[in-house]
Amino acid sequence: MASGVMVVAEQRDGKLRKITLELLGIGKQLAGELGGGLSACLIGKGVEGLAAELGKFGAEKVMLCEADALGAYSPDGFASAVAAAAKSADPALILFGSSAQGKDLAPRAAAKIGTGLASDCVEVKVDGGKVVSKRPVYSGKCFAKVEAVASPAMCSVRPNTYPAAGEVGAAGEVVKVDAGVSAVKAAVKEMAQSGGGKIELTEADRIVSGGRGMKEKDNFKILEELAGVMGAAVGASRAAVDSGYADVSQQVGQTGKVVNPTLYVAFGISGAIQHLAGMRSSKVIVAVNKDPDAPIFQKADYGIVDDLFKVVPVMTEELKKMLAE
Amino acid sequence: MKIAVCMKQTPDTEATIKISGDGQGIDEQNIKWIMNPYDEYAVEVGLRLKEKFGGEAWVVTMGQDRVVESMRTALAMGCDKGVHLKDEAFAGSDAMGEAKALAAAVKSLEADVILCGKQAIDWDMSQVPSMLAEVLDLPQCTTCSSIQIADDGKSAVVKRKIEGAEETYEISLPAIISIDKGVTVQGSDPIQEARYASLPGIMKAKKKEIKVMGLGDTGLSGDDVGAGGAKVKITSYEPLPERAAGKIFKEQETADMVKEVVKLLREEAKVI
Repeated sequence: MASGVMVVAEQRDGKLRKITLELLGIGKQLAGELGGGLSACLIGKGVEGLAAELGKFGAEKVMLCEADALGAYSPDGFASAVAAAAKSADPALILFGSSAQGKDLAPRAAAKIGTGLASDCVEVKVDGGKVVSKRPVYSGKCFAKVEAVASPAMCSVRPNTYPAAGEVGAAGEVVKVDAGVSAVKAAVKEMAQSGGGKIELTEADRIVSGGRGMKEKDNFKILEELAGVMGAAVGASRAAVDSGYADVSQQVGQTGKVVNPTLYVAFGISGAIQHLAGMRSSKVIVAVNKDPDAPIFQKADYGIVDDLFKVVPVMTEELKKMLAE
Repeated sequence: MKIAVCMKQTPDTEATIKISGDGQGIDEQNIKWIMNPYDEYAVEVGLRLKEKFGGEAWVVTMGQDRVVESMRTALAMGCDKGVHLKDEAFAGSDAMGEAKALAAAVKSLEADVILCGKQAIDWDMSQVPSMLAEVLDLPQCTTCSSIQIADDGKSAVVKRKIEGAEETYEISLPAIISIDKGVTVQGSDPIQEARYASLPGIMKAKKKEIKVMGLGDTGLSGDDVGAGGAKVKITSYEPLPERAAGKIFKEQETADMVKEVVKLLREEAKVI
């Protein structure tokens, strides 16, 4: 009978991604509640070295799917590998990260296995033996509670939702799985780094964001400086992106990215419902705006009604001092 | 080239979402329904491909009668024909049920390129495109940021943005491609806005054919779709937790206000 939890690990350039450690943390807890152990599914070519790493962070068993055709990420190839690993590990729940790869892969794997998927969950629980998750719907305007009615249950979890697993020290048992993948329909042929090593918005723990109030593209430099001091990523509202002040990859909101940082600082952003949809789950929100009636202040934990061009330099200096201590 | 654009109707982005009294759905009374914004980009991409390669662009939608209005919008933008998947049996489908029904329609069209928006802004699942690809056993590129189809229309180079990088794939057609805002098509500038329907377009759209497909036409059974076929079930909707009123500083010296907030971030919120 299906039992335990299987985490689908994500690696890039031979390193596990942070979301995988987050999944191992919550996966361990859920495996305890569901009964059964925690396994991880590791897919690729020449990735066996990472199995020990997965073990160190709590995976009791590592389902290792290696094949020449899986050397580069392939949605259909990796979905076959997940299905083969699931058949062998027989988990009651499979966890994916709601990362770019997880969003692409999890639905294909669900369709292949013939089960259902709750994506982008901000909470996964076991309730009366059933997997119940909570996920934002209508662009974060409310939550839906989703119950898995097929087995295995499958959830993808939003990055930054759960703390990363700590090291437990033990090495997991490695189980080699032959997914029988010899050719794939689509695979990454080339990967170009973008953003110059900047922190990715969807994974960022801190974000500073600019809106229409930034007035022009050059002014984003002061936000970048502040972000540099704070170790934050730089986001933007749709108004700023549409006005050409910021790149579309920086857009936070309904037609942009959904972010989940610990700290979100909004400069010159009025707080249209569209923008709130993308950042509302931030744990602490700071708003700086000249207009005391800007709707963003209703969502802010802390607010400053003032000219952002006066506030940003002072804040940069203050934080520099504080973080240097 | 035959292009199929899968479109969903969603509440307007500005709509206030109110949970219904029983917590089982949303109050649809004052909702304005629109074409899912990401699907608008997919329609735009479809039309640009049609302009370049010739052929036909179809819009494919599942849903009740009201979705026809959004289908007409796609037709007014320039799509040629539509398929409306309409059957009581489809009601309550999960993403997989939806993907199976859409797959049946797309298959009947023998489309070369199947486009979707990267996600629908109602349930925000981003599941249908990948599931559709699996059901149809085709290559996929989701959240696509660049499409370059070869002159012979048989293959494409597609890109997608991931965290801190961009992936490039070479795929054969037919394929499923889900579209992100800012996509470039055949070397175009990033598409930030889909075209508007012109007045003559709107007039013409009224006469364009919308083929209705019911469950029987899809070759699926009642167990594949609808609430009965769903593998995940929404048991209830919950409002967002109320945020406690924030501490807002005004009408003081900038430096004083900033210092106070920075101090609170460290000592009270403990995030710095």
